Amino acid sequence: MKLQIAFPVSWASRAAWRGVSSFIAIFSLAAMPSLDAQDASAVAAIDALADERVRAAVRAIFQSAAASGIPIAPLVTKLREGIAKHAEPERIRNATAMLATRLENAASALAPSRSPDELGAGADALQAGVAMGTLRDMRRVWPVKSLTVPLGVLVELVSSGVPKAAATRRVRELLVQGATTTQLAALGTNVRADIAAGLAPDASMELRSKGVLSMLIQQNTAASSAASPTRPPGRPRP
Amino acid sequence: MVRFVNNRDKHSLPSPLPANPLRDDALLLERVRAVLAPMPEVHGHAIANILRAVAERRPSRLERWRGQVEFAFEQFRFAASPRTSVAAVAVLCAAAGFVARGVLMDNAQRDLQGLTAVATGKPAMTSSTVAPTVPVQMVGDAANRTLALIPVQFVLDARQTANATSVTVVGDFNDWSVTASPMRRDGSVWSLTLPAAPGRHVYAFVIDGERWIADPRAPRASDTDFGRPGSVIIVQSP
Repeated sequence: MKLQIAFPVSWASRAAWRGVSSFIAIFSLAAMPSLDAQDASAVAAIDALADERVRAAVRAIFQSAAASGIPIAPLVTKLREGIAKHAEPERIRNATAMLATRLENAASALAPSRSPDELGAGADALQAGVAMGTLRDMRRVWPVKSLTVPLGVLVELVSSGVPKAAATRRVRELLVQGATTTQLAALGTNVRADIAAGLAPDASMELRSKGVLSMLIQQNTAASSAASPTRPPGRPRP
Repeated sequence: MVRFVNNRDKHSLPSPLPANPLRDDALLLERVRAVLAPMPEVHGHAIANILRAVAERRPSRLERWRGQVEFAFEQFRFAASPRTSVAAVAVLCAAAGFVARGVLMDNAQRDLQGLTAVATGKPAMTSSTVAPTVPVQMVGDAANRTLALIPVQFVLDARQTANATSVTVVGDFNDWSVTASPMRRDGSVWSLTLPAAPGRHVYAFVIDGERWIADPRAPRASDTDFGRPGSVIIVQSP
């Protein structure tokens, strides 16, 4: 007599495996279109280039950036800028390649952020001559909030003639004290106005940043004193 | 001799062990003896207690719901073919994927698609005292790294564009499209309000689709890669 025992593979376990694999496949497909849309935009921008050799080079730059996890939206914008301005294809390629490098460095310094706006601002800052160490430091100071506006203000300050060291130090101090983006933007506006009126850039920077800092320190002191528990007057101690 | 044969016998491989009829018979006899052995005596009042306890116990709402789900699942399991069940799982997963995509999709992209912004008339901070009139609305959570779009108004004095038939705004916020953002002439002023992400933006005006000019009321951009004039605006986040 033969008594054979086959290992029972239940319907439920097979169905579970089938369900899991289907879920992974279809979830991936359903979540993909946003990436496809970005790729389509990039492809359209690349196709607008007249030179086949430059097209291939720019495509390679995009592929390399995408493989490194860099958002390609700023690269597409740069490419479109060059095309809109009727720039030479070779010049467009160079500008795109340099931006890709700056974005990669900004991504490294501003990690873990992958926001195109923030990395774009970081790339602009690097182009203006701000050091990568400064970006890392600003990320440490503001780990959660977006650095897009502070970096934009820093770039404008440096562009308007404020020494990099002074601009960086003051913006950092403001970030540490919890300045809002409105205050930072106002600082940039006021410094520009002072320079246009004939004041030295570094003197204006010192003056205006000290004004904002003193206000912030007052606010912080008031907030901390309000937060500390006080006993209402006239009440007996329990 | 009784022979137990599994359905899988026809398709299964022969056992590597040699058949031993004596051992198989002994096993069979043992199992038959176990089946025929008299059941232990059970007292009547014990059975009554069990039946009463079962009758008194009412399932909770959750248990009833679970039972209904299990019943439906069993019905589906026996009624539906494997293909149907896979298709059902696929539909469920696709729905979950689309919902997840909607949740995970970049906020900025969603804002671009659906922002209905209202200008509040508050001036935005740019890098100049003679900045363009830039109404902004403060929306969203400041701690959010991906920030909402802010409406920005661009204004150009019509006297500076004598005989112009069209003026458009181009910038990184509209992918440098020369045709995407035409300005509207209102008396002696060309104006347009566009949504832009917080941060630093480079832009220009294009007159009659050919002549590029920087905004005379805003600071000049220092980082123009392609040699055309440009201006800078810093859009502040809330």
